[in-house]
Amino acid sequence: VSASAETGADLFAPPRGRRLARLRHLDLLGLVITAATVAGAMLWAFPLYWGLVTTFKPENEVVRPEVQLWPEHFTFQNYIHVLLETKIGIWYVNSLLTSAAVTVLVIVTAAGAGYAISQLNFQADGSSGG
Amino acid sequence: MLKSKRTEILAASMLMAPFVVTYGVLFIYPTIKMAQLSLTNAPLIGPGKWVGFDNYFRLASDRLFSVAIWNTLYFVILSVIPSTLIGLLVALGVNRLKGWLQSVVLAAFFLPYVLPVSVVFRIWQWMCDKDFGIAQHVVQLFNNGERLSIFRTIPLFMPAVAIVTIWWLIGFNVLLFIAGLRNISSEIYEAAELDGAGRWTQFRRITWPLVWPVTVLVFTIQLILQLKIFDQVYLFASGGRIDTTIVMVQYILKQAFQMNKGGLAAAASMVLFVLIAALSVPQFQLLRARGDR
Repeated sequence: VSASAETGADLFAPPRGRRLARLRHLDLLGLVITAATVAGAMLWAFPLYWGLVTTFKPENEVVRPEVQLWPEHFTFQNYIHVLLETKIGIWYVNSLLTSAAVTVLVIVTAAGAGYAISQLNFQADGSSGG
Repeated sequence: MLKSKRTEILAASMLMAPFVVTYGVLFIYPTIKMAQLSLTNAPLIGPGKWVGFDNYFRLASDRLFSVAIWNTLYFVILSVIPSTLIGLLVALGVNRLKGWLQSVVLAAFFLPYVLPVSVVFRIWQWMCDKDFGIAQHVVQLFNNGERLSIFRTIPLFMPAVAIVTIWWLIGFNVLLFIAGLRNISSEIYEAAELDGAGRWTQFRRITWPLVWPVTVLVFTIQLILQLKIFDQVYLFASGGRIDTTIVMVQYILKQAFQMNKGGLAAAASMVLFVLIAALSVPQFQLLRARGDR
């Protein structure tokens, strides 16, 4: 028990020597890579942000060609329209029923078959022995 | 002994039955039926006369079908290799980060993956709109200040759809690569650092070979997925010159549901099936074998 606890502690211990060495001489390339990663994440998230912020814009602002990062007139009108004036409840129930049925059927069939296959004793040469 | 063997077999078949029955009824049987159908001149509904390999000969001489094959392969080249490489690059970048910053950055790359294709289509069509899309500011930089309808310009169509697809699906590749990178023990890197290996050498000699199996897996998954490309191309092309940007699944849809030619569509499906098997199986074996060296 104690041996496994020790290896466990080793695994999760921070590599202190490495971190100190890194702190000593300023890691310029590392900074550039980090900055590039964060910039990439912002670029990746921008279409999502644009989609989200558009939902709070009134119709006339939505079709403006300028890059307008925040709505001039903030409105919940689009949400009110979708929630009250469409049949979104029925659509939601339809999606829910379909996904629930698929989830249950996939889990039942796959779990049973998966367990049965896992009980087979696969040999190294690829054949399954008793 | 014999009795326990018998109960074991009984238990195993009870566990396997739901899967085997579903798989047989919903996959094996329709596949055999489709292979039969491809040798007849059946319409979409109802039986047809046996025509041998006529449908396949007709496909071979159909110009639209070869357009569909080339468009599909072109799209595969545009999307599979970049999405594998970008996935690895992003995973390397994300894997260096720590704490909340890592969570936020990973979420930014993964979030598009949870969107349904219709939302992805809406967002990008909106951003690329010729009159009010904000992507036009970028387009104007490269097009002498002129606006351009990106998805109605034939040479730009496939690359643009490929970019949207990479944006949409990269999150899954990144997750697979991160799992692979975390499997590499940090002790190997510490030992390499003590031996004076720089960042590039560590990547070349440790990260790249050890993450190679994941690369092969991602590449194969992407290859199979993108050969079946349909949704994005169908949505972005609707209202345009569909026949110039047609892909294979779209061709099958057109023959079956618009031209009412069930037999021909079944033959085209068989060709797609063989194409996917012929490309993905040897590719997987070949690349995996290379990694074993």
